[in-house]
Amino acid sequence: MKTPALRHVTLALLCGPFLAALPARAQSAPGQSNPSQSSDDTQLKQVIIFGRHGVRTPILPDTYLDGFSAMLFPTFTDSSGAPLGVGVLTPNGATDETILGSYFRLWLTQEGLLTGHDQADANFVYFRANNTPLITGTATAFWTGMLPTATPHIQVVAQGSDPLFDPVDAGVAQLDYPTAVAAVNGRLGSNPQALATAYAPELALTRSILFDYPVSTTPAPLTPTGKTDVTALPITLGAGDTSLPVTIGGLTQVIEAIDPFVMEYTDGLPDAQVGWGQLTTGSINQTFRLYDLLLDLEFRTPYLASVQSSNLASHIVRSMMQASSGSGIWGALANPSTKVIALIASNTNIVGLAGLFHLDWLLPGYEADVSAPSGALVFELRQSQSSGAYIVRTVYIAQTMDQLRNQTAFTLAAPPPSAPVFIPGCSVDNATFDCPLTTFIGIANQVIDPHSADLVH
Amino acid sequence: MKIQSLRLCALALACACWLTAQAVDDTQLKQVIIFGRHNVRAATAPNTYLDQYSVQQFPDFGVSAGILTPKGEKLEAILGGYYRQWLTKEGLLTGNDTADANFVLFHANVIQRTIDTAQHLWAGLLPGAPVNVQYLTPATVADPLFDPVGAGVAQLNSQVAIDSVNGRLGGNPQALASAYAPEIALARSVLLGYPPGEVPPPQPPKNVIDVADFTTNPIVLTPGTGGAPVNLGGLSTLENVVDPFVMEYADGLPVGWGQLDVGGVSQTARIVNLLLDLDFRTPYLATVQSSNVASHIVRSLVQASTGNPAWGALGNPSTKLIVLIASDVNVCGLAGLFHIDWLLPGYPPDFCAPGGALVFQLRQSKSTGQYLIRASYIAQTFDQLRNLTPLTLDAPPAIAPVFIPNCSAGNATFDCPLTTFVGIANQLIDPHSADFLN
Repeated sequence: MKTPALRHVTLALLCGPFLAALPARAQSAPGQSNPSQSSDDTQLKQVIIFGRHGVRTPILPDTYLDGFSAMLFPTFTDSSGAPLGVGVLTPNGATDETILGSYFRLWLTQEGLLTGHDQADANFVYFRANNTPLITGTATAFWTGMLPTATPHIQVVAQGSDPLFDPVDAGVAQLDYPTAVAAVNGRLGSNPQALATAYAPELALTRSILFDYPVSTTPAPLTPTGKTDVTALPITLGAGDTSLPVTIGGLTQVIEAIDPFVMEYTDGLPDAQVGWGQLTTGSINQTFRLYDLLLDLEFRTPYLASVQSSNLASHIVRSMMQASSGSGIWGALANPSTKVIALIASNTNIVGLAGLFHLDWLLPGYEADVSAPSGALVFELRQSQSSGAYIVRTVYIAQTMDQLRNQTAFTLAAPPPSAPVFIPGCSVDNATFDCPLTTFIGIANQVIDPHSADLVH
Repeated sequence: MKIQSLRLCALALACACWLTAQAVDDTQLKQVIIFGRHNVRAATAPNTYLDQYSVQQFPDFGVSAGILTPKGEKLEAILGGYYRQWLTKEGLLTGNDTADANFVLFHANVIQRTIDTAQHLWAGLLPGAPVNVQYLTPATVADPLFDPVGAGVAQLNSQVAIDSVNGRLGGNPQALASAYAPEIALARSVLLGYPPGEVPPPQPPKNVIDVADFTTNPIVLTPGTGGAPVNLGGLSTLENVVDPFVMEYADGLPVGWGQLDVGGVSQTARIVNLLLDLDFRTPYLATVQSSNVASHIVRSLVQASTGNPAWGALGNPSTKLIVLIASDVNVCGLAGLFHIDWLLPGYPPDFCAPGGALVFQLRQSKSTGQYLIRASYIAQTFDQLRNLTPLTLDAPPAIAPVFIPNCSAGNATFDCPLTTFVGIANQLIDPHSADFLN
């Protein structure tokens, strides 16, 4: 009994001076000036930004989506009015991404990681994107904001799947599909159809938007002739593929049908075209609980997070070890002097990594654990100037839906919202939830499946 | 693409063989641990408190605050009757209740509703044997299994507790008000007596406190009191006020003054679930608060499998049935520690229903002798509770087989080898938050 008590006392003593230096338990955004940061004795040594692509067009053609709705889905166009393709970064999405990159430029310059000499800084920057135009375009737009006078240099895997973002398809990790189905089924009492009741309010709202009636209408109107009611399709599980490990029946069509809503709003489509004039940010959020549900089941379920996110987690952790040690190591990205690593992929990847480490966040105006367009998990490797010890400080950062829609510019005094993230088993008791690097490596070794990761750079 | 198609075909074949094999379960039940919540009770807060937040008075359950209702007693006996049928079929019970009672351990938390629940579960399960439920006295003492922090077995650092919750909420717990806006709006409409969706929502009468006014009563984190490690300010108040709705439905009362159907009850119960998630499933809090009960459960399973007494186990090596009755906080906490989830028809995911239990079966393969754990979550549905529905093997309560991460196999019952279960338990249980007392 005395030993753990002593341990807590020791921890409290260690934290005491630090807490004394942090009088305000204020929310601490990257780069945000606040009283607590002014006396922070740590120095930023490396940052790893793991982000989702920016605002895009729907991933399916309107001709398909229109089968799910009473009215036609709006067409995303460029400034000349020409239709954009399917699943591509919109011009507004690129602008938003550049705005976010510009904010990171301000913050990283303040932190001393960037100097203002873009050409020189580019030598210490590593950008890697999953190889689709949506994601490489996002990475390029982000670079343009962060290092505007340097030529963007985005690493991609030219052929085949990127083992960082799709390790199963790349052959680095092996997914056992029956186990995948069981792992999800065993979170749902082997009765996935029960989700229809558990999420009845969200499905009712979705149906009312798709079929254009007030959600309170009783009884709910019949499905329009020739249309599919996605909210009534059976929810069943089956073996999926490398893009979606478990098929989930009609819930997939629900996600397909609601996926455009957040993009309609954030791309700045006229109000009348955001859910056909029926959606607010609040109701977009409520429908998106269904999307978050799918991401949770497919990518946060422990078995699936372990198989699908271990390789990425391993590379992130090894990159921080490499930067802290100053020596090149296998399985790390870039080299020991790399200061900024930006990895751009999809919501599935971010949710999966968060699931692996049991991380959660909440940003104003979004659902819990949302993976917003352009949003990123940011891992700061910092070093105490007094002790030399390294820590990891983690935040989730994303523009709000209104900031995306309005293309709101940021300054250090007016940053995008960020959520400091507590890393279970590691974070200590301070306002930024700092996590000693050595402890972080220890928990990473526990959660990463070595059979699902490689040691390739 | 061809390789993948072939792989799927091979999988389909493998599954077909496996499904055939499932028809013959070669395992035998050796021990069961039922870790349950009390059944239907009155609201935990007195009506004089609750009535401050509603335009109409909260209903009278006929018993004092927090006491198991007469219907809750009957429901628990019905559930016990179901367990009796199941365990008799499995050969763990013989029908000779007096003899069987020698191989049964019932342990309840110290408060009336958990003791009474356990006693009625016993009455349904072993009706021919005198009720024998063990519990600590007086009711103010902390049972180390269910309140290890209060009992001094585990130490909770209040500031780390707050940080671990705060760091799931972006350091901004007030943002929960918008993230849960639909549930808060529904609760407010019921409490203040207007149709949900009314625009603009009416102001409350002067003598009624607006429970959704998070400006006056903000959602802020402070050290908890009264059983919860972290108090969430206005959200904790809201949770107290919506808590009776589930019990009103289950007890057969008018629900939310006639404004809530079962779907609405389930939606307001999301607020209860959110609090439970933050206060008991947050990894640090699950570790500190649930390691001791987890340790005792795992050691009891090991003890039964080896046949040798073990420190920190419950009962003795020949104990066939262990029943632990506590509260939703305990069941949710243990689930959080092992990262297990469930879904039962009509309930929100992971809901700890009245009378609901995590059930761990220790089974042994008759061919290999190996031991495995088969876990499920079992509870009466909302309507089975409300209607006092008799339960039989053909008309059972709702049962969710549970997948134990890093352990369960891909079969229909998600069987988990005991040795692997012990291994993951050793990773998840904090030895400084558990004792080795029997």
